[in-house]
Amino acid sequence: MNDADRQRRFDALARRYSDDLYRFAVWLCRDPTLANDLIQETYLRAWKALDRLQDPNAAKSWLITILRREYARTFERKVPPLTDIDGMVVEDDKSLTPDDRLEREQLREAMLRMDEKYREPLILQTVLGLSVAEIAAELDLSESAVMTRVFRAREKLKQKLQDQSDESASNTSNVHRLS
Amino acid sequence: MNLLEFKRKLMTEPGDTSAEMRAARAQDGEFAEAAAESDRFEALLADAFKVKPPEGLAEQIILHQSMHTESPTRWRRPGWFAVAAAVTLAVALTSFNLIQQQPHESLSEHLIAHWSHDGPEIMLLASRSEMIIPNEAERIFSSLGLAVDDQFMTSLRFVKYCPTPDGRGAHLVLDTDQGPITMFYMPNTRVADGEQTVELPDGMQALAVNVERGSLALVAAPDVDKPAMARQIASQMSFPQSVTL
Repeated sequence: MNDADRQRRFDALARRYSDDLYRFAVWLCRDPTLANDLIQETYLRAWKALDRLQDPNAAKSWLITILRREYARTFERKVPPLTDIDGMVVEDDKSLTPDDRLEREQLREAMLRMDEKYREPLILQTVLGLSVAEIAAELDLSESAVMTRVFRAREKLKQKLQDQSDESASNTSNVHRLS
Repeated sequence: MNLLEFKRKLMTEPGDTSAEMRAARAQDGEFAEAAAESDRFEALLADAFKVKPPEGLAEQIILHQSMHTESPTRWRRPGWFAVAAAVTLAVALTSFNLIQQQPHESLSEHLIAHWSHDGPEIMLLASRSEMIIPNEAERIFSSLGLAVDDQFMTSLRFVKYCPTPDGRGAHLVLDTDQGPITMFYMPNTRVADGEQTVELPDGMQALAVNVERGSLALVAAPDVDKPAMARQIASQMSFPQSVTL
């Protein structure tokens, strides 16, 4: 591969996958600034190892692997602190009602606080669209272990929404009793 | 597939489009209810996870790569060559965020690391990109408890969140009558003695001064009158809300 081909190939990888990888990185390290750095370092490593990517269809999982390794390497001894949810720039949908927005915020909050072992496979599935088999290969787990983790992750998030809903109903009922 | 298996599958692989799942989804009654409930939750989940990537992320990555690696082809392009000649790079390959998380980092160490990490690159990006979207800038400023006047907004070429010695701040590029300059706004950092000048490894100079809340640092060539510029910029900033940073 000559220099120009190499550069073209790299540019295509950046344009095709960087947005999704950034989303994954944000939920993985829970900090948009760190996520941006992580993405830059990931692609820098990808550039250096580009000749090793033989199958273009494997590019996405190859980049995910590099990103996860880079994350593990960077935070080997130090887990990044939980970021403030306000630091995340979410794609705002103007058609949402205040209740819809609240529900989404509650989910984000719950995701940020979720244990990484549940959070990571769920993000790989929902943000990057990986199948259970692909997640299992990426995380070096059995498929049944992945299924257990994504099941538990969804269960936790649903429970969180239910708790918030119950709390909100209880507050409304107390207000009615007082008035 | 019975109902229990179907519900379990919806919790583990809701996007599964196998014939078995399609058949289960096509059923009425409790199957249909379970599918509808799952679809609603998955849509909510997908929505909640929609984090907006930084504007021009792919271009930033390509730029970052071209500045950190030797690629003769890339640098032979006339545009890039001109840019390379204009910008002296002192890029730290280590993770800037890792550096800034180290305890007891002084303001001068931080400014050197911050500028070396991406200062020249951001200047370059700012010079090559369109003017930024005011709403996006206002959202960032507002989250930091900062407001700026129209003149400031007009001169703004780039803004993003960045780390500071004491939490989150903003990294900006402003057009001034003395050329583009970089500014770091650090809402939780105070400058000892109110003012500090830091010599940067590439010959640039940073001046950090206190403002009403926190401090700002300007990075420019040594011959630029940074104290006057800092006074002018500070007069365009206000701090309307009490926010917890």
